[in-house]
Amino acid sequence: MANPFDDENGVFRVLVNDEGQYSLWPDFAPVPAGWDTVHGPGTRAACLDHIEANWTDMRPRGLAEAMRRTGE
Amino acid sequence: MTAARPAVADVLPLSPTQEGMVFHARYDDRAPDVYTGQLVARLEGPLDADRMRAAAEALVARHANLRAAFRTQRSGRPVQVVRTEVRTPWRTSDLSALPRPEREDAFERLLAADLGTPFDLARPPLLRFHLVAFGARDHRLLLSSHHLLWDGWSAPILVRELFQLYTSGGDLTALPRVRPYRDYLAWLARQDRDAALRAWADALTGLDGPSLVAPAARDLPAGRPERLVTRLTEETTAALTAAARARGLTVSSVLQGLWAILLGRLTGRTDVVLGATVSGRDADLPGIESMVGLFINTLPVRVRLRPGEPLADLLTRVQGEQSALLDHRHLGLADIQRAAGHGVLFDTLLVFESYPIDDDGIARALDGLRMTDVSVRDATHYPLALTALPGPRLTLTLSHRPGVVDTAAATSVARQLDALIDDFVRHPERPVARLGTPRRSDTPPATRAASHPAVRALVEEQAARTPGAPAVRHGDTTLTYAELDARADRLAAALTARGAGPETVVAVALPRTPDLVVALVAVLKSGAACLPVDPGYPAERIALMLGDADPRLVICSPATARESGIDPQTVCPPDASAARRGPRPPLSPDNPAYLIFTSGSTGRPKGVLGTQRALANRLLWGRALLTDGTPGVRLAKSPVSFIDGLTEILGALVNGDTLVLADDEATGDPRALAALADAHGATVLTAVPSLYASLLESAPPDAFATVRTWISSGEALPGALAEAITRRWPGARLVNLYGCSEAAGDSLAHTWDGTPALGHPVTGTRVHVLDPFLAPAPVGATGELYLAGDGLARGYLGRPARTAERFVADPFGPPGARLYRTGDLARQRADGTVEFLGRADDQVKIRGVRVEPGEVEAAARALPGVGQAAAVARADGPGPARLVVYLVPEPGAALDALALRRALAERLPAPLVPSAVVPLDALPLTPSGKLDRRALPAPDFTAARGHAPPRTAREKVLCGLFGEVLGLEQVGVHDDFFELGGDSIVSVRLADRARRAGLALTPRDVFTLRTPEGLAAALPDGPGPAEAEFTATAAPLVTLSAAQLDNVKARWRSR
Repeated sequence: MANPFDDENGVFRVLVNDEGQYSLWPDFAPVPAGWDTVHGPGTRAACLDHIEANWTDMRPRGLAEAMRRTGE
Repeated sequence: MTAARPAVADVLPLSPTQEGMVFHARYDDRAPDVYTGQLVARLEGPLDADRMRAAAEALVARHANLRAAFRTQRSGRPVQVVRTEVRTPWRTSDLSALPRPEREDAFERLLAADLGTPFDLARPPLLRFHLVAFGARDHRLLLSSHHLLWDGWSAPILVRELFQLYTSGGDLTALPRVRPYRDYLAWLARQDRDAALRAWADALTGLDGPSLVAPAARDLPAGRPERLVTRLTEETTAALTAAARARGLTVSSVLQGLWAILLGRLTGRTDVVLGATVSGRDADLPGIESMVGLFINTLPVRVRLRPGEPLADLLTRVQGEQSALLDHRHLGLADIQRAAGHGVLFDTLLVFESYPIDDDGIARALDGLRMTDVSVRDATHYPLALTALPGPRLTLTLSHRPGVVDTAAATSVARQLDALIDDFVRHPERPVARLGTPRRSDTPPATRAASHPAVRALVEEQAARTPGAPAVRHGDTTLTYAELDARADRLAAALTARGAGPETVVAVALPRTPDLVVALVAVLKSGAACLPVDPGYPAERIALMLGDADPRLVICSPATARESGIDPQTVCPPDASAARRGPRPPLSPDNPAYLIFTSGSTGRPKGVLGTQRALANRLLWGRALLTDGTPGVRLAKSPVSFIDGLTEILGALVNGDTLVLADDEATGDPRALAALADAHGATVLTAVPSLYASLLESAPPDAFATVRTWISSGEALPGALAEAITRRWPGARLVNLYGCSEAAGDSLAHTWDGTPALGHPVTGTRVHVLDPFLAPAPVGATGELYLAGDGLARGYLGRPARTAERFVADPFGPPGARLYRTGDLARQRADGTVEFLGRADDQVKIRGVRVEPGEVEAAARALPGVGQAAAVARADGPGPARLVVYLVPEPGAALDALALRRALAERLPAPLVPSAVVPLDALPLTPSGKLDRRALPAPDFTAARGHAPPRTAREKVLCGLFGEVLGLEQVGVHDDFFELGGDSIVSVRLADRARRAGLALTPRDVFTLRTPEGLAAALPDGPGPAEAEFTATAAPLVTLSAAQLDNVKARWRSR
C-alpha cells in the first residue's frame, strides 16, 4: 500500500501547531485545523531538511514555557 | 432430416472470452452457474403459442452458433462443436388459474427454479424457451441461455428477429442472410498477437500487485449477486454527458476513472487495475453490429492515481492511455496476465452497455401483439461489478456477491460513486484526494487530552492502599508494597541528588530481579524517563543505545558496567540510597516517562520518548480491564527493554497485584513457566503467539489452572491458535492487545469472541483506517491504521524529521492534535472493530519483536566483504517465521556464512539476529528492479557440512527429532542446533519431544550441548522417567554453576 507520506516524488508542506510540534504534510490534503504551513509546498527532502534544522526543542511549547517559569 | 443422430456442422475454436467462461463454469461444477442469463419479455395482446414456438425454432436454425456444444479435445484444447440441427427446448406454463396477486410470485419461483437448472455444456443447445400465460392476453416469454452463446448487444437483435420470425410464421427467408460467428473467429485468428502481447506488457509494466476488494473470495464458491440500482435524473445525466463532452471524454472513460478512484479507496492502492468489458463490435468485420454471439471481452484498465492531480486531468489521461490499446483489445485476459507476469489482476468489473436498442423495429414486427417490457438478468462471478446503461436517465447497477461484499458496504460504494459523479460535474478541477463528500470518521473527536496523574502517583497510591501486600516475589525474596515504595524512595533521592529529574533520562540495566522493579519505580519517582536496557544485549548495542540516549545515570551492577563499557561517571549502583531533600520538582503529563528503543529501518535503532500521560493512560486502562475485585498474581516474563516488559511490571504495581519475576531461562520454557505460575497461583500471563504455541504443545496437562486472563500481544494472534487456547483453558478469557512503543504499548484490545480482530481502541485512544488520500477508508476496505489520543509519544529522541513524518497532523481530532501512522494495514467492521491485515512496508515480527529488515541489512553491510544484503522473514518449515539474510559479496571477497552470523549476534539483539545467512551471487530482482522476494532460495542448512550418521539409539532418536523440529531431512550427530537455524522457540519444541521420547532434556540442555552427540552423551544412563524432573516449585529446575549460567544466558540471548 502506498502511504502518501512516503511518496518520494510527492509535493509536501511543513506544518506547525500551537505546541510548536512539526508535521510533514502532503500538499494535496487540506491543512487540518490548528496547524499552519511554515514551509513549502516543496519536495519531501527539502521539507524534512527544514524540520531537521528548525525543530530544535521537541518539548511541547506549553511545557517548555512552564518549565522555564518554574526553573527561575 | 432422417438422420438418427444430428450431424456435426462445424468444429470451431473458442473466442478468448468463451475460454474464460468455460474455465469458470468448470472450475466449480457444484456452484450454481452464474453464467446462466434470463431474458424476459412481457407480451400483451393475442398470442399464438404454436407460431411463437416455430419462431423460436427458426431462430435457432438461423444462427449456427446457438447450436454449439462446448467440449475439450484430447489435446486439452476446448472447442465448440456446432450441430446441423438441435431440438429447441420449449415449455409452457399457465398461471391464469391463480388469483391475480399470486401470479407474479409464482413467476418469480419459476424463474428461480429455472436458474437452478444448469446447462450441460456438452448438450446443445445451451438455451431454452418457456412461455408463461398470466391470462389470455398477457404472457411472459422467458429465454434462458448460457452466456457463452451471446452478449448483451445480441439481446435486442434476438428479440427483434424472434418477432420478425413470429410475423413471418417461421419463414427464414424473411430475414437477410446472417454473417456466421465463424467469420469472427477467423478474424480473431488474423490479428497480430505478438504486437498485442507487447502492448499489454507495456501497459502493465511496473505494476506491483493486483487490485482485489475481496482477496479471500476467490476460494469461495460462486454465487448469485445482489443488485443496487441507481437511476440518475435526466438533469444529472445531461450534465454528466455535457461535462464529459466539453473535455472530449466519453461517459465510459469518466466512469472508468471514477471507478478507479473508488477502487483506490477500497484497496488502499494508488496503482489500481479494474476490469472493463468491451463490446468487441469494433472489429473490422462488415455486419458485425447485427450479429448474434459472444463478442465482448474483459480487459484490465490500469490507472495510476496521483492524489494531487485534478480529476479532469486524470480522466483525460485514462482515456489517452486506453486509446493506445484500442488495436489490441482482441487478446484474451489469460494471455494478458501471462504477458504482464501476473496472475489475477482485478476482481471488480465495469460494464458500459453500449448496444443500440431498436424499440421501433420491435414494435413494427409485432402483429397486434405488444411487447411492453423486456428485462435481462445475468450475472458475473466478480465480487463487485458496475453496469452502466446509457439513456435519457443513466442507469447504474451495482452487483455484489452478498457473502463477500455485504449490502452496507455495497450501499456505501454506490453512494460514493454518486458523489464522485457529482464532483466531476461540479468540480472537475478538484484534486483526486479531495473528492467526494467529506467522509468523517465515525469516532467523535475527544475534546481535549485527559489529564492523568503522573505514573509515580499511581504506584504510590497503590502502595498507600495495600502497604502490607506482597508486591514482588523472586525466588525466596518478597517485597511488600511498603518495602518497595520505601526502597524506591531512597534510590530516587540518590538519583535526584545526582541530577536526575524531569526531561532527563536514567537507564536501568539490571536482570529481572526485585532490584529492577525498585529501580524502575525509583526513576519514575525522580521524574526522569526510564530507559530499560537488557544487560544481556551485546556491548556494542548497549553502547549505541546509551550513546543516543545520553542518560544522566545508568543503574547497573559494576560487572555490567565493566562488560558493557558504560562510563563509570554515570553508573549508579542499584542499592544507592539517600534521604530526600525538599519537595520534588513538578512533573507535567507532557514530561517523558520512558525511552524505548525499537528497530529502525535506516539501520540504527530509534528511541521512542513516551510521555507520563501516555503511560499513565495505558496503566489506568489496564487496571480497569483486569480488576475484578481481588488483587491478582502476575508473572513478569516479557523482555524489559521492550514496552511490553515495562507495562507488564508497572501494570501489576498500579493494580495491587503480586509480581512474580521469571528468570530469563524460564521465559521461553513452558514447563518452567508452568511451574512458576502454578507455584504462585498466577492469574494473569502475557505471551506472544509463538510462546502460546509452545505452551499448548508442551505445558503439563493441569498447568496454568489459576490463570484468569491470558494476554496475547506482540504480533497477530491466529484464529486457530486462539481457539486452541480457549479450548485448553475454557475458564480464562483471552485478550489480544495491539500496540507499539509510539503509543504506550497498547492501543486496541479484543477479548476473544471467535473471530480474529484487533478490536476497539483503549481508553483515551482514537483509531482511524485511512485510504491513500488520507480519507477514512469505507467499512471493510483495506487502509492504513493511524492512532491518536493520550497514548501518543512525544516522538523519536533527537530525530525531528523522523518524528514529523510519523507523528503527523490529525484532520479528525481537536485542533492541533497529532496522529501516529503505524504502517499496519487494517480494515474496520461496521461496528468499528478493527481487523489486522499485515504490514504496509517491509517490517516483520520475530517472536513478537518488531524487526526492520533495513536495520539488519545495514548491520550486515557493515561487515567486511559484504556488498549487498537483503533480510526477510520466512516460514519454510514448521513453526514460526525465521529471519534470513541474503548477502552478496563485494567483488573478490568470499563470505563465510557461519562467521558472519556470529558477527551479527555480537552486534544485534536476539530477535534481529538471522537464523541463517545465505550468500548469493546476486539478489534476484523483479522486472521493475525491486527485490524479488519470492525468488530468494530457502536457506539450505545441510549444504556446507559433512554428515556423520548416528551411532547409538539415542543419537538416532535425537537426529530424527532435530530434523523434525527444524524441518530438515537429514541431521548428523555433530550438527549444531543453532547453526541449523534453531532458536529458543524451536529448542522448547525439541526438548519437549525428547522428553516424550523418554529422553530427559530441557531447553537449557539444548542451548548448552547443541549437538545430538553432546545431548546423547549428557543423558543419564537408562531411560530416565521423563516427568520426574517436573516439580511445581519456583526452584531452579537444574543446578548450574555461575559460569555455566553465564554461558547459557549468552547463548540464549544471542538467539
